[in-house]
Amino acid sequence: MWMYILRRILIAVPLIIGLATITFFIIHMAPGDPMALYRNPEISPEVMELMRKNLGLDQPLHIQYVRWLTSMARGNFGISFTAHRPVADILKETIPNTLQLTFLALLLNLIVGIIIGVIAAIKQYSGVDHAITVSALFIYSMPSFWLGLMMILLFSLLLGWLPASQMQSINADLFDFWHRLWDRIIHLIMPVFVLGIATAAGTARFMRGSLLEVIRQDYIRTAHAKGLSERVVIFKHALRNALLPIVTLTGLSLPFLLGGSVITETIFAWPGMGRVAITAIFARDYPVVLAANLIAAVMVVLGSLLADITYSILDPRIRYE
Amino acid sequence: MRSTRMEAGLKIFLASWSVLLLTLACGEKGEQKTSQWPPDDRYGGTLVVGEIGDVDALNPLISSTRNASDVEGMLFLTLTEINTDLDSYSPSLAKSWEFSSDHLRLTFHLRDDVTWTDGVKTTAHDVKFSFEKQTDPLIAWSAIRWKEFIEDVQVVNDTTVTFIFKEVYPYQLMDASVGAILPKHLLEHVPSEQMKTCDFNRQPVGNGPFKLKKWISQQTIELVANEDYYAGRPFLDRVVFRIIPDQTSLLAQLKSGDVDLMESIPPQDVPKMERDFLQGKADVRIVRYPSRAYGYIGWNLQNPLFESKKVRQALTMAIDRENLIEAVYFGLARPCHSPISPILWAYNPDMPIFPFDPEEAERLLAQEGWVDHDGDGWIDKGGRKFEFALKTNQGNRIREAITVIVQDQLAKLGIKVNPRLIEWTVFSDQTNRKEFEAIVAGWSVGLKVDLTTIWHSESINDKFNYVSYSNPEVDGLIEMAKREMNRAKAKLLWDEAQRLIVEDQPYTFLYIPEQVNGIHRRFRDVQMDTRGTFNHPEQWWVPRDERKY
Repeated sequence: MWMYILRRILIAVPLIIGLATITFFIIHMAPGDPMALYRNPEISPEVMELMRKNLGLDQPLHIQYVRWLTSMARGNFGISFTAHRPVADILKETIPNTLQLTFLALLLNLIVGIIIGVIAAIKQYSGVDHAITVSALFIYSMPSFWLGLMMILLFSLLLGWLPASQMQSINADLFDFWHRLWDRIIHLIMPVFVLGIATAAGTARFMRGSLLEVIRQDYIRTAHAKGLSERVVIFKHALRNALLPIVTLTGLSLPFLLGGSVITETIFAWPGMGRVAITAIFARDYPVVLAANLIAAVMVVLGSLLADITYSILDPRIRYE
Repeated sequence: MRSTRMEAGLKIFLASWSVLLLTLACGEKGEQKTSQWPPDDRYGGTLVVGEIGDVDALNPLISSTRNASDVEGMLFLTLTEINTDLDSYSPSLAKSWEFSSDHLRLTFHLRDDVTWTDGVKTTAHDVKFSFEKQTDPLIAWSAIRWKEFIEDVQVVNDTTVTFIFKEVYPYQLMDASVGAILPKHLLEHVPSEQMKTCDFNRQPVGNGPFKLKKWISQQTIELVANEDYYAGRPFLDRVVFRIIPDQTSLLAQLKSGDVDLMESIPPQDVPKMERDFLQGKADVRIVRYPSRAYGYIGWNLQNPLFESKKVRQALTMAIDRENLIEAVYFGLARPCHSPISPILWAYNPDMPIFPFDPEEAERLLAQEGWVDHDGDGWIDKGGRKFEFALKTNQGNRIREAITVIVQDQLAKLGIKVNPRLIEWTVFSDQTNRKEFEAIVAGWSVGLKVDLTTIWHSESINDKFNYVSYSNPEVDGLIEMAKREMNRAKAKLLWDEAQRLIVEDQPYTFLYIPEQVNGIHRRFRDVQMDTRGTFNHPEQWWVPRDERKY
């Protein structure tokens, strides 16, 4: 098992370098110029050239690439063109914020999705099943920016129950610990809901399908024949097997923990990683874009590795050697 | 090209004016108010400002985002402050100034009671140091051009400093005053090439009415009253900038009261908000004033299609600007006719305006040989169809709408317009390289009357004369007007330059939008005008019983 994990990690290294290389060239060759930010009638062309040189953009592309790769290998992500500070600092600030949001959203997604999926499967073709299917489809197709804005209108503007944006109140510094925790929770409710609920709808559909398939298997019939109660059959025998595809799904959605929340982060002014990455792409802030991409690549590799390992825990037939 | 380029420099310039502190006037006004409100009652409260984006740095030498200058205006002082007439100045860090008899030396007498928030005195050495950094090519300060005619800055003593000019021209005082004064003792050890990344940019030490307490990236910038401010601490305890990147969400929070002030409210929301406020249904007061921006269509004069002046005039007359303004700005803009803004003294009100007149446009085009020869519905000349791409930056909904309206209006004359929406950085790059036929774009004009960077033929290469406009007569007039010390004579020169440019129609000037800001009604003595959003923030206040924080 450990050998397997080690091998997978070793294979991942060239994969990630390859991905980073492709991203590097794509972003540099895409039209648009990071210097556009500074173009200004007051700055002479000579000064612009100098600024370009300061950013290292005057070098041929392959030299820029080698420089970037070597500094990356030393763990140096460079300095953001737009924020004028180390990319590492920016990531250090934003990644925890995003994880807070997306981890809770993932939890919501799994809990709600699995429960609803199981109910729909048990009550297949009943009124409940239809109601769940229709509303899941409805929620799944709803654009998250729209849902977000509607929630702000309803819960912040109309009812005044929840704060519309950001992570904390203006006076959060003055609060005691419990008050601050509560403040954070009420700030999390809407973004977590918006981010988690659409994916929960998808998970529920998946769960339903998977459970229905498992229920038709021979061993379930055997379990029934043994005279086990419906509850035991479903939760002890069927569910565990039906969860396998959900594990894959979750593993693969790991990268979205960092990047998939761009829209939600923007609408709710959540100071996260997705927002930073998107702003950087539009500003052609190469160091930030590349770092964000690298992290996403690592997450994909880690996610699928994690999914495979969980597989072997859930399904004793699977052994990696 | 609204946004960054022109704006960056000009906004920095603006910011340098936006902290005004006139001791005499302040004392008088203060006493007047005291009779109405017990003096203690005005101290306290928080202003929450909603911002679309974060600030890049709080160092006026480095920052290039628009809102950075708003914040810097509260942290740093400038030598003088421009007045509401946009033409005269009031003392600030300098209490008085005078020119030498040959007008080449300008001497400022500084206040001796201004200190940096770390306790060190602000002196003439800081002024000289700031000038040196502003003109250092390694730093590439975005407003560096304002200093190009300043030869040297000399310290006479701690409170006296002299600016020496290379030549005599009308804007010497403005050029000397532009840019915040920075603390020498904190920045002199920072090498110029490291200025962009130095710690000062995130922990600035200033001498203005407010000081930075906390800056959490992408979230909040919190300023608190500077207790040691030379004119006495500001009334407000705090000014908090909250970053809310989505405009719709930001507007919702302005309405809900989570945010007290928002700049640039989308035009379509303004009429209802104004109505609601007047009927007492809402607490957000709308403040409107003419902005310094204008929108235009630029015709690439290197393209044979737009070579002829008559064709360009016809294009302008084929576009119904009043209609366009109503459609995209809901009336919150007025037609623009000149490269010089009506808010400036040099504006020429008597100019040909090329009103909407499709018949005349058709006649002019026919005169130039543009007729539908082959009967395909589009006019042509010498086998070439009148067809061009009209580019603008994607995401600017107003400009996107304009491309479609123009497409529709020109189609009626048999001209085929293909709207092309391009991502901002790419659009900016292409415009700079003159890779366009026509563009919908905008400029934000400075307070200094100068047509050089956009209209002089020397600005065709590498500068902002994207459309390659070249008229020797205009060049000559600009050169003369820039140096003319007699205001009346200068006015005549600028009038003539404007007339010639308008006659040539290298741009179809479209509109001058109004700046529309919203602020909660509880704030008193708010001053928002063409100078900027935050004028005298130290004088804004909230009655005690209306305070929220």
